Amino acid sequence: MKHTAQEIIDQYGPAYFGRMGASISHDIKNCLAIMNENAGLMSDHLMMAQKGVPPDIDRFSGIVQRIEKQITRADDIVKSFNKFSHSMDKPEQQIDLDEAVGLALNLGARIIANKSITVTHTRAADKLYVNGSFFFLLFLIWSILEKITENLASGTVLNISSMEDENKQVCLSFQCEQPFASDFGLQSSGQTLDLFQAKMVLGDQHNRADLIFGN
Amino acid sequence: MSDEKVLIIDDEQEFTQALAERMTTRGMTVSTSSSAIEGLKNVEEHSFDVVVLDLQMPEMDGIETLKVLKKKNPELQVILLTGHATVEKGIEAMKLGAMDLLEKPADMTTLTEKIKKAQAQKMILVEKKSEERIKNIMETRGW
Repeated sequence: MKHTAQEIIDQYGPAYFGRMGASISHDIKNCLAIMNENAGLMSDHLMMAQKGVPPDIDRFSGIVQRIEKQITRADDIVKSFNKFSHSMDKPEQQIDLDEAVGLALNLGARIIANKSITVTHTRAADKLYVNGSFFFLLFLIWSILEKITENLASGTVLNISSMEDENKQVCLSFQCEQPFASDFGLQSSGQTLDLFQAKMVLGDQHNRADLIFGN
Repeated sequence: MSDEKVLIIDDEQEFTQALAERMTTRGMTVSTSSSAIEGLKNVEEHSFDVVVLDLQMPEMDGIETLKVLKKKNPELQVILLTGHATVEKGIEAMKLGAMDLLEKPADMTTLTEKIKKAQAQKMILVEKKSEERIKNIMETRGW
């Protein structure tokens, strides 16, 4: 049974948006916590200076650098979340596949880290484009990633690479050394595959899965 | 009262470093671990009054770590620190024996107060345990 984009959004959109939002807010809180402690350190040093302890310029400089680093980190996180929030603006557009993979990985970085799995991303030499909804593409990539990493052991490295296959079809390949879950009958990604006229092809060894786009 | 011996377990190393420095300035003896596994090893090798524990960490999360810590060291006081405290997690942590749950970014005055309270609580528990042990020895040996 084919599902419309609206049906899929209604069914899975809020859950995906909520999961990413929770993960991102946690990361921002971590940045704020580091900034808070470093601002507190600065305050401690200032108080000591007021009591006559000569200020240590190098330490002060180190604290400032740490705060600046966290501002950059938080800014990157917020930029990703902003892009994600705007991913539903257009029902269909031309999407840079590697940009979508990068964003999906940034959004779920904390969830992936908590699984103790490393995900690497190898970009295609030339830009590859997919037509469709940006939000659904992010959701599709994330659904596959979650399914694949479900049973992977801690420390596993998973590589995602984009390419054009022998039939000139745009393809996203998920590959790792150990076999992953063989069942790709995940309802949510199955329905989203239809929206991109895409299919999943699982390798014989179950350690490679290719997402092949139709158009 | 002696200095509070505190262990901070959090995978955000820049956070633990800055927090440890501030707590040291306030007279506490502070160690840090960047993972639950490292933290559990640290607790086995050294004596601490209080563990300040992050709720979300790779490999083993705060709740799992709390379970192991309390099983091995029931007197050890654990304060959970989290980026997003949900009511459910808070209740679960308290049921498992956590002393408190604070949300990041935490206020240093509040955290210091909680640590002092936790150390006092640990001392009461240790003293109580010692009294029970002495009572038991006296009863079994008939002194």
